[in-house]
Amino acid sequence: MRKCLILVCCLVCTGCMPYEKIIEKQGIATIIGLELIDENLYKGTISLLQFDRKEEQTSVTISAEGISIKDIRQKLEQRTSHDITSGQLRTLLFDQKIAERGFTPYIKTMQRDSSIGSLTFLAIADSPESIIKNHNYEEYPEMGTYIYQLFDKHQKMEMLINSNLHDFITDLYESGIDPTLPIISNEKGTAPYISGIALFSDDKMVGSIPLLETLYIKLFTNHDSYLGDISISFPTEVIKDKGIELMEKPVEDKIKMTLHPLVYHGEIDLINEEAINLNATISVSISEIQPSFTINTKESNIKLEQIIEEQLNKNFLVLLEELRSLNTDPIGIERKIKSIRKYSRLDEKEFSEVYSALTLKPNINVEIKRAGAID
Amino acid sequence: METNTRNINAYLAFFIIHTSQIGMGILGVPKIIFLEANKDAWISIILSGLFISFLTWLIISILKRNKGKNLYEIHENLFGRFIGNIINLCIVIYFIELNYSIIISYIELAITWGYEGIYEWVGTLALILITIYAVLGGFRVIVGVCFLSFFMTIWMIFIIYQPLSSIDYIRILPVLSSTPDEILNGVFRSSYTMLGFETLFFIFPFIKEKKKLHLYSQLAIWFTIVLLLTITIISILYFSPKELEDSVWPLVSMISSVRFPFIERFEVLAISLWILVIFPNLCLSLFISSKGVKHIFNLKQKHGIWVISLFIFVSSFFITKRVDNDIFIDKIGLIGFYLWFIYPVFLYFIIAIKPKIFTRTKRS
Repeated sequence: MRKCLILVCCLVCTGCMPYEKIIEKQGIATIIGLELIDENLYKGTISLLQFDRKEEQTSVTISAEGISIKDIRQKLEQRTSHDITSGQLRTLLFDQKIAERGFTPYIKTMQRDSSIGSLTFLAIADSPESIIKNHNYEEYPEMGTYIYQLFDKHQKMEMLINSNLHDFITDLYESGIDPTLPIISNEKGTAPYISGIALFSDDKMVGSIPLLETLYIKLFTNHDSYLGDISISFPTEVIKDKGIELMEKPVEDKIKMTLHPLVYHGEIDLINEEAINLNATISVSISEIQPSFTINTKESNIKLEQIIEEQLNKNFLVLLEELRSLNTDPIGIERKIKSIRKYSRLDEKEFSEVYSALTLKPNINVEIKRAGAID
Repeated sequence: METNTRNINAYLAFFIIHTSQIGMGILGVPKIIFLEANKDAWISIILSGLFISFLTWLIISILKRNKGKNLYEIHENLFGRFIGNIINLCIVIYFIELNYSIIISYIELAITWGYEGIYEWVGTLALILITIYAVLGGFRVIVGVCFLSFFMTIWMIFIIYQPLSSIDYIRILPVLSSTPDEILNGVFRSSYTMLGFETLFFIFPFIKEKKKLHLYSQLAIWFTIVLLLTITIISILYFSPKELEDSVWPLVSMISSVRFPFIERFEVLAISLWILVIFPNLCLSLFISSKGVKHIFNLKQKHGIWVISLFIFVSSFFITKRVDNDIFIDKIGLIGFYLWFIYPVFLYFIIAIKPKIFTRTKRS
């Protein structure tokens, strides 16, 4: 009796797989590009990895037109002998027109499909098709992996703000913070590169800023990653006014500095009803000064820190005003305000009144920890 | 009186109660409570925990007054054979339905995440057969299942470490922004997940050191509460409100952002492992219901097991849609709430009052 039962259990359990998935027969999608070519007509491009020993080529790119994401997928199936699976999907590229129309319906489709992981990157591109079909790179066998590695590196080590599906959805649905997405560009003869960051108001793209400026946003939104190098330049007079001696005569009348951030921490501080301080501290090591000067005394160190702070705060303020004029809030100032009990029940309209009247004061503190191997 | 070899040590009650509380409910509970109590869902869980802790004390004092009888026997003593058995039948039906609800919700989960295309009845059959196999082994085997299942799955709590890096403390603020009404509704809706402590009513006769039982059952309950609290708080911090309301199984969605170098999609593994989490629930509910059938109809317990299993298997052809499942599980939660959150209080008073009435009537 017991043995019989075990046998039946085994048979039933192994029978649970509905159909077999053999790796040679799978076309593993690593990147999908979607563009709007006409009202209600989309073009989808997909890069497939194939593990077929007989074939030399390991990846193949196909595209099709359709009226929705899943419709395109169905049409793509007509163009390949492999079974398209999205379990290894790493990147979703959308063209700018889609982003300007509003993202929500596409995001819902991605959420509904349990085979799409929530760590898939989202990005905006001028022409997803030409990016996926670009062949000017050597490191990786196909485009999906290249773009994934590019984003992954940038998110962990450089300026890019978290922009995977989960982060995007979270920021999109949260009232009080707006999402951002990287923009990818494609030029003849080069591999695709990150050219900027798209800003959103609700689910619609409203503008973009250069990648390096996202530093100021990342200070407040990401806590467990690194920042890329910060470059600033300022007139030589600023140094002279502070009383720091230059070692060599400047060729140009500008001083250029590159700082390597070590640790950072940002906090939005609500002071009163009309003012918000954006406090951040960055510990840096100096990696480049042109023309060079010595910073061996405590006094000159503090002075230099002040100069850098002034420069960063100035740039940050410009960015903040730009964000406010675009009516977008990627830093999450609104969320911070709403976390105070008094404001927690504000609706959108009341809030925008509060927000437009706010005085935003950037307050970045820089601490020069090291100056490399020389003083 | 049962023979001594069938009895178990009191500390094992910890595993039985804890594993019977943790099951399918925990996967979706952050969302369900969040829908009612919003950011203050975690307060609902603490309140619910305090209430259950009180109920556990109540149940143990009911059982102590009845000298090692299980609930079926208590009912018969208290209300007589006929009325007692009607109540017992309701309890049996409740446990059959509970067993069924666990099976269908697990199968729905498995079909959504990776096992697309299998028939519901195939999954049901597989689950029922292993459950029958375990329950036929008797109570000690079931205790073993609970014990093993606990240690084989509790490590999964550590995978929450990875989502921890993208949480935001601001999301839970301001505290106490929901009305007391909403928070209490949250307590009410948490019942399906919290249920499981009622197994005390039925395992009591098997425990050797009855004095220590109260300590271990309280430990088990608070362990469950802490686990639920952790998961709920992390879900609130991890998801934005609308995202949490949208997802059916927030915990699975959260696990899906876990990536190891050696396994890309951890949630597929987690869902397969979840069988071990629900296995004690299935075993205990089948055991308790078959014990009830034995008591009411004087059937052999073995036959009861087969009859109930057949019943569950046949039912599995009828409820297969997402919407139906939701309604069914809601109903089970509702019945469970009245049966195990409210009814024990009445039972306690009836047991306390009855002897007094009887002694009075004897005197007069």
